[in-house]
Amino acid sequence: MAMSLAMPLASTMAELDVGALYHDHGAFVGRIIERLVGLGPHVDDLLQETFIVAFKQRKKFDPERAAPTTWLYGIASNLCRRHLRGRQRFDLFKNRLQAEPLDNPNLPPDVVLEKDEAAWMVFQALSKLPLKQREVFALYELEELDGPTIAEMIGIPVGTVWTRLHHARRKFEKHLKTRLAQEVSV
Amino acid sequence: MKAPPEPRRLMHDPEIGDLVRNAGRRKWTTERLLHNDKVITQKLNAYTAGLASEATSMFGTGTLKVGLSLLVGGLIVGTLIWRPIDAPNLGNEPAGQEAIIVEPPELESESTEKPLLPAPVEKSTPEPSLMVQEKPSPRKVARRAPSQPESTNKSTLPAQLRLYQTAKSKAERGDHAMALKILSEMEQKYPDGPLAPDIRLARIEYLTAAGHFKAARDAIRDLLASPSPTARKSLLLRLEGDLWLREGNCSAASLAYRRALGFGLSPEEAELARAGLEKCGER
Repeated sequence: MAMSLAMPLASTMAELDVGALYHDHGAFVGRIIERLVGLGPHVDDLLQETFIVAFKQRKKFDPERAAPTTWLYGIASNLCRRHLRGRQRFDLFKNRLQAEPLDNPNLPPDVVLEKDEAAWMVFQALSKLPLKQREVFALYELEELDGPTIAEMIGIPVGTVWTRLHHARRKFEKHLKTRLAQEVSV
Repeated sequence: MKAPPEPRRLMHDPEIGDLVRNAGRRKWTTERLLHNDKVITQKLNAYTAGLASEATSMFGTGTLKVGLSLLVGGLIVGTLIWRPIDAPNLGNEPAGQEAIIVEPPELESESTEKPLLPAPVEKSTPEPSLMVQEKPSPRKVARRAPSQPESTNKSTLPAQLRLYQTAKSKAERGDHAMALKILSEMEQKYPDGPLAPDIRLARIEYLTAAGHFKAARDAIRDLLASPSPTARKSLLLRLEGDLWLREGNCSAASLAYRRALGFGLSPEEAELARAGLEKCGER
């Protein structure tokens, strides 16, 4: 896949070719953001922001200290945290605004069908996890990374990775199995 | 010592393994990646162009300051920060330098944000040839010795935070008029302050709470007109739809909802927009 990003900026990027980084890790970062903050157009905004910050901070990247994925993950996860904090504020406002709930449990069938049902259920279960557990779960179970790599990326001991994963899995399984049971009973 | 074996992955679970495996294999399309590549390139080009013009204007200001100080008697030349600008390196910030704004244009910025980068970077003095005139950060101002004379660069963030807190507490006590007055004052005084996005959103909230629906909608319009990430635009449009619906204007509400859906909403938001549309249909 030809990436245009590397071309116009090549002259100003002596330290780090952010275009090449995007080429190599853009999809990974995009998927991770999606799993941390949920599906939606904000995922693309956050992905773009991650690489813009990476470009602005490119001189601070030290390849001897961290792998590019670790560095990019750090930027992306911080942006996701910000986004989630902002969304809490926005949701608060929204809840106050709505005198009567607009949620309609009886959605038309086409709305239900247009969702990727399976992925939707997994994302719903993921969103129930606290962020710290969610990131470990997403990296281990969905990205299939190993414990030491996750520990390095997040900056926590491997033991903590397993502890978080243990709690995350318990909650995730409980939520998903409940949903599946509901689906079957319907 | 041998490391303990990693736990068995959920994808091997007989009950939910398939779901997890499918979600894990969810790929990003080439089109989506290329689209983002294009947007990043545009944003970075705008950023580097902005940096160049910022540096040029700083050059002008610096020259003027030197000239004025010489006219006054050359007594305060030492207080001026003058560093030559290395034009070819305009796009390259030295490590550890906080001179150029590197904050992303996040809408919900907070004063107590963690730095965006995960790992601290070794403190190194930037090469003089690479330095541009520093833009004072609040942290730097706070660290300055008290004996140093107060400059016009003093951080206004604490004052902004105090005002914002006052507005919030007024609103919590139901005094939305006063809260709005404080916010307007802040918007005038600090139009580009770090709390500006919060102020704008709070303004809409207080206007709505005070029953000024039209003004709230106008404020949403203003926000929509300003450059903001697409996701935020679609959310604002959906909120606008809610406002219209509350006022019983279903055609305007439907239009806002449809525009929001057109911009793209998260599945939850899209459901809410569709539910709003349905309500409009029922009426």
